[in-house]
Parts: sequence; C-alpha cells; structure tokens
Amino acid sequence: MASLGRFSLLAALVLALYALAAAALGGRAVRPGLVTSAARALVAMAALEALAGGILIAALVRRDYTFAYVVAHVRDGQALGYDLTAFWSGMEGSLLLWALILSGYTLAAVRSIARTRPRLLPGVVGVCAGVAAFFLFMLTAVTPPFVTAPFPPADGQGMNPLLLNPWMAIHPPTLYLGFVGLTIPFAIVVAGLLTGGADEGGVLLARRWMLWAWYCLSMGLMFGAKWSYVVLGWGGYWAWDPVENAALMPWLVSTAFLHSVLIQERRAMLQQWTVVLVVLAFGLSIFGTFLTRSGVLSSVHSFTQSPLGGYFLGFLALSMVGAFGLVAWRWEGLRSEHTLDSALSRESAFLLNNVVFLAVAFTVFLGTVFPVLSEAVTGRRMNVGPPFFDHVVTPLAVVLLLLMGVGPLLPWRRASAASLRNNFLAPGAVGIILALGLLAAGMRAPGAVLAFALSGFVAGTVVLEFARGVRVRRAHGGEGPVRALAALVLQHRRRYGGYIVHLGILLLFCGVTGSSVFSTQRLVTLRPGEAVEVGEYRVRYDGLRQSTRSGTLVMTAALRAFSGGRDLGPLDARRTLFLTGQDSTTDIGLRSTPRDDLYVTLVGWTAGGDATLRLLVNPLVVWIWAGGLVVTAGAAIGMVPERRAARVREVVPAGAWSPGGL
Amino acid sequence: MIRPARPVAFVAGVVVVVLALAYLVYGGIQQGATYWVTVGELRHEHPAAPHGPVRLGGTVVPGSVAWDASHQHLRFAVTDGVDAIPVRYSGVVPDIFAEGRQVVVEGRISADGVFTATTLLAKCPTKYNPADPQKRVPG
Amino acid sequence: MAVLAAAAAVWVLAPLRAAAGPGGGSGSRAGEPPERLRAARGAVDDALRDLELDHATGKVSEDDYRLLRAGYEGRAAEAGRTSRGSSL
Repeated sequence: MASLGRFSLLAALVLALYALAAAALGGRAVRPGLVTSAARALVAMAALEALAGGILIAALVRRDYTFAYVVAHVRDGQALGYDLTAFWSGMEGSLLLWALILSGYTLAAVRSIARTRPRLLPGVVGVCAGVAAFFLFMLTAVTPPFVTAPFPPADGQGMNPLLLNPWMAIHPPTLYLGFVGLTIPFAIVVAGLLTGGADEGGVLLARRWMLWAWYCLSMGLMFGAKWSYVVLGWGGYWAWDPVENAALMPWLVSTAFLHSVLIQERRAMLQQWTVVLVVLAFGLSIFGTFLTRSGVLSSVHSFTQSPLGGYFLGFLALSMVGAFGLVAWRWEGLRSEHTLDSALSRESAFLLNNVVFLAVAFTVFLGTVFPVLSEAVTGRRMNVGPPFFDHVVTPLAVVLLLLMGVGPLLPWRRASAASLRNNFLAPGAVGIILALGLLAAGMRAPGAVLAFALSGFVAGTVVLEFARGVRVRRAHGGEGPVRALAALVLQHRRRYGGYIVHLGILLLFCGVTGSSVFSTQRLVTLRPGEAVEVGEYRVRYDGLRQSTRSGTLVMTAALRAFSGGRDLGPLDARRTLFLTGQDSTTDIGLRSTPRDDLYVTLVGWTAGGDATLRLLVNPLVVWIWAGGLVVTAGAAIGMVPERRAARVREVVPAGAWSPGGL
Repeated sequence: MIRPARPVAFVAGVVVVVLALAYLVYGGIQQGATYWVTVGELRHEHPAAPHGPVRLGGTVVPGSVAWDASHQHLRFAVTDGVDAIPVRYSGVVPDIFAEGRQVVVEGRISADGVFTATTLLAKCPTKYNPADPQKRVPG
Repeated sequence: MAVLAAAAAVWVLAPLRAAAGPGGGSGSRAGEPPERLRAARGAVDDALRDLELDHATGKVSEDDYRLLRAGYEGRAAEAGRTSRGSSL
C-alpha cells in the first residue's frame, strides 16, 4: 500500500511537469490540443493525489503502524475523528492536503475558464501545474508521507493533546482552503499578463476566487483565535505569533484587493495596483507556508526545523521574480485612463484604505521577520513582541475604522460640502453622543472611548445606507419596509453584503477593544471554601476532584460563581495530565455573557487541596465571535453570483432605477 | 498607477503617510524589541549591570521544575547543554511546557542571578524529523 | 492497475493528435465566446445599477452622474459588439 502511495505521488509529479510543459508550449505555439492534453494531465494528477490521500486516510483509520506518519500522530484510544484529522496535523499530511485542495480548485477553475475565457486557459493550467509540481516534489523527495518501518511499534505516539479539539480540527483545512485559494486568482492574473493585459473580465473572474479565499481565510483566522482562547488557557485569542501573522498577512492583502477591485470595476482605475495585490497575496500565502514549516523563527506552532524552508524560499523567490517580472513587462498596458480628481472622494478613500491595509501587512511582516532581519543588519538577533504590533497596528486600525464609515458614503469623483453635510451629520452625531455618554458613564481610557465612538459613527453610516436604500426602493415599488429591505439586499448583494461584513468587523472591533482595555485578572491560591472577588463576580472554590480516564489524570477545581449575591451556578476548571509523556491540557472554566466572560484556569494545586487559580474577566469577547459570524454571513450574501441574462439586453434607460430583476 | 489631478498634493500626502508609518514603527521597536541571548552569555556577563529585557532560548533541565505556591511562581532551570540558569516565572504556563522541552523566556536577569521571566513560550516537541536526528527531543 | 494507467495515458495524450494550429480545439480566435461577452456586459450592468442607486440616494452629483453613465454605456456598447482581436 505504501509503495502504491509513493508511486501515485511520483506519477502525479510527472503529470504535473508534463502539464506545465504542454501548457507552456501550447500557449506559445497556439496549439489548443496541447493545452487540452495538459488539462487532462491535471485531472489524472488529481486522481492520483486522491488515491494517495485515500491510502493515507485508510492507514490512519486502520491504525497501521507500519506507516511512520501514522505512528507519529495516532494512538490506540484516540477518538476516530481525530485519527482522521491527523491527516493534516503533521507536515507531510498537511502538504498532501494542500496539493489535494489545489487540485480541486484547479479542476474547477479549468472548467470555468475553458468555457468563459479560453485564451487564459494555457496560463492558468501552466501556473497551477507549476505550483502543484512544487508541492508534489516536496512530497516525493523531501517529506514523503509514506515512509514505512519494517518493525511496527505496538502503539503510536498519538497527536499532541492540544490538537484534540474540534476548533483545531477544522482550523487547518479552513485556512488551507483560503491559502490555496489564492493560487487561482494568481494563475488567472498571470495568464492575463501573459496574453496581453489583465482586462476587466479577467479581474472579475479573479475577484470571485479572491472573495472565496478571503472568506475561508477569515473563518480560519476566527477558528484559530477561538481555539487559542478556549484551549490554550492564557485568556487571549491573538498573540502575534509568527504563524498567526502568516495567515493574517494574505488576509490583509486580499481585503485590500476586494476594495481596490471595486474602484477598478467602477472607475477603471488602479488596475496596476490591483494586479500587484493579487501577486502579493499569493506570495504571502507561500511565505506563510514557509513560515509555518521552517524553523527560521521560534514559534510555538512550527512543526519542525528542517531543510524544508530552503525549498520553499526558493520556490517563493522564483514565482515572485517571474510574476513581478511579468507585471513590469506589461506595466504600461495596464495603465488606466482616469485621474484621481479629488482628495475627498470615494476613490481616494478606497485608495487610503488600501494604503493602510498594506501598511498593516508591512508592519506585521516586519515584526515577524524581525529576528532574521536584525541579525542580518546588526549581527545580533532581536525580537519584537506583541507591544510592537499593538503599538503600530492600533492607530492604523482606528484609521481603517474611520474609513469604513466614511468611504461608502463619499461621492464618486468629488465630494461637495453639501454632500458631506448630508451624509455625515447624523452618524457623526451618533458617534459624538456615544462618546459623551461613555465619558459620562465613567469610561476614561481615551483609546477605548475613541474606538467605541467611531464604531457608533460607522454603525450610523451603515444604518443610513440601508435606510436610504429602502426608502428609494419603496418610493419606486411601494413595498413594505421588510420586503423592500430584503429585495434591496438581494438586488445589490455585493454592496449590502459588504455592509453586513462591515457591521461584523465593527462587532469585532468593539469586542477586541473591550477585552483588551478593560480586562481584569487575579492570581490567587485558595483553600476549599474560600472565595475571591474579580470584576463584579465572586468566585468560591469548593474543592479539588481527581479522576482517571483512559490514560489521563484529571484534576478538577469545582467552583461556584456569584454576581451581586445572585448564584450563577457551578464552574469547573480542569487540568488533564497525560500519563504517557509529559503533556497536559487545560479546560478552562468559562461563563460567557454578551457583557463579559468569566474565565478561570487551574494553575496549580497542593496535596492539601489548595488550588491556585487564575481568574480573568474579559468584557465583550462574545462580540468577537458574533462579529465573525456576521462577517461570514455578509460574505456569503456577497458571494451569491448575480443572475446573468440569457442574451445581451438593452442598456438600462437613464434615470429609470428599476427595482425589478435586472 | 494613479494619476492625481494635483500631483504635488498627492505626493505630499504619500510622504506624510510614509513618515507617520515610520514614526509608528520606530516607536514600536523602541518599546518592544528584545535581544536574544544564550545561557552562556547570561552566565558569564551577569556580574555586569543587567541590560534591558532579553530573550533566552534553551531546554528545561529535567528535575528543576517546581511550583512555588507561596510566591505563586514557577521555578525551573534552562540550559543550552553546557550552562544552566535558574528562572522564575509567574505568568501563564503553556500546556506544552515540560521538562526536557525547548522554551523561550523573555525577561531580565536579576541581581541574585535568577532570570525573572515575563513571557514563557514552549515549543511543540518535534515528532518526526528524519533530516536532523540530533534535534529530536526525547519524550 | 496497469490497464488503468495505460487508459489514462491514452486519454491524456489523445488531444495531441488533434489538428494543430488555430481553429482546432477550444477557443477560436475569430471571436470571443458568448460567455465572455455576457460576463463583460454583466459587469457593466452591475456598475450601472450601482450608479443608479448611488444617484437615487444622493451620492453622485448630476454632472458626475451623467459623465459616469456615458462611460458605462460606452463600455456596454463595446461589449455588445463581437470583438475581433481586441484585448478588451
């Protein structure tokens, strides 16, 4: 079986290389037969990869310990579901997952592009084949998943228990769907550059894929943050860890793209910039993969230290030099004809938005590679931690928040004083009233007041947009407000889906502000029966329980929470010690309300039954998860494709805003 | 890329943005940068005045881990294979922290020779590493 | 297994024997396929619809509205023609 797996991957590599050559040749010599053959080779390659994947899954499920990979990640007694997720918990499997997802995307893209933009097909097939070839090369020569041992051990080592959690089960595949998804828009754009300029249609196609990849990245980041909060037990959800940053950077660049592409579509500007963003996003996804695989930075996530990093860096350099070279070659052809008319216009707001997103991405990049950079420049290795990131990113994020409110309401081309007044008076008032209200209620942290006030302002602008749209619709169609709202959103899915995403981001902002600025912490050692005050809660420690369960020793601190005399019920804070090896996991005691989270970890205990507890009250954390949900909902709405008419119709007559289906 | 109607104002705007970013980044580095040191460097330099916060990497010495309940901090020793340095730490201990595992601590060395850590990061032990057998951490 | 591999090889290499040069296989150069035109036209329709909404909610001045509309209508007309060898 293992040899079949090895052979499949090798054959897949051969097919990928063939597809790359055939697509390149077929594109240059305009021989469609070659291109079709290349596309078919990719289908066969996908089938072989699926075969290899199936073999690995079968080995994991059967707990076949002749496979070294299975030994490393599976153990008798591990739940079956986690045996399956072991597929991607190790390096070799995760690379195979990457290749599989890429194949899936490639097949879908090839089908779609062969039908709609056949001129782009050779380029897309070639690029996808090239990327696939790299990963298959890694899987055959550098990190093969099908290494076997002649004398299988009786039991495997099992996965790191920190990974035995539902959030960690879905976090990698979701993130990979995003990372890998950035390859397709890259392929489309490169193909467009090769055939002579990324015109409007090509970017539209790339946009759909970027939106999907962005959607997956957003969810992956949220799952990771949730896992960090709930499982790692340090009370936070984001640590500016290099691997977290690795996923954040392409997300930032994709978000910038989603905004700049709108300017390109509406005003045919920023085309060069948009193309650069697509290339950059792909580069960052490969760079992110490189960060998580190599040991070049000390991250608690990194799988291992190995020569893997060198290959990734080489591939990254090659693809970036090639792609940017193409961009430079086609630079003049991409130039747009329109000018930026005014500093106060929607175009300039979007442009500033892009600049700030890129500034954040640059900062995150700088902070992440700082150790390597500082060693190269000064000879001494230095690190920058969360204070650096917080210091730089927070003001930038506040600017973005402001732009989120201002951008959609600014007119195209040029804003007049009248339009400014009309659009920003009411939301501005909301923001100021909110600020005054918070100050009156005793909030003193200036950053927090500003963040909340701005959030109020932005919420006001979004509500205003919805209200105006509904009013216009009702003026034309006379529907009831609810129906008008539904029809409005369905008619303008991109715009209103985007506004919903903005609302989700607002919730996220408020949640992050609340939990960062107003969190309180206590570290206490209690005897059974003693209680401690934290925030507005009183937590009583009732005693320590001990139990054993399938190879683990579980220590549970039984607690009871009270708020202002009201009994809020029991709470358990647990530590699970794995008797094989030295691993342990934490189960936090968590009580979440929309107002705040009461978060308790069992830090230590004595033989006498005293427990050392860390208690945190984190306000507004639930808003973060809620915000994430709203973002995904808004994105989902925006992704539903617009209906296309069966035949080319008449141009919409001037002034006739028709509420009916266009 | 962009053709502004008023190029001078546009360039001025760009310059402002770049300067603002540079200022923020510089301030951030001042605030957050720490030097990496090795156990050996700390041990031999320690008599001199303790410099700013540093980052120390090493392996947790087996048998050195003890929870000091009265002071509510964790005591352990970190070694680079040659020298070892005692550490005390009162923050959140990651679950993967264990004897014999690689850790990174950030903090200052105190006058009494003990490294007072404000941050503790532990590394997931490598489980499958055919390329470099020496780096394999037992356990 | 070997039979499968042989069949796959035949399937992959078959298109190579198809007619070489332009006109054969997928994608003729004589004109853009209708899907491509639909997509381009659809993009302009989206822009027009968005512009109408912006105008109706007072976010575009009259002059700018006329200007932008004219631009979009021009693009719509272009997409309506069968483009011969044009890169747009």
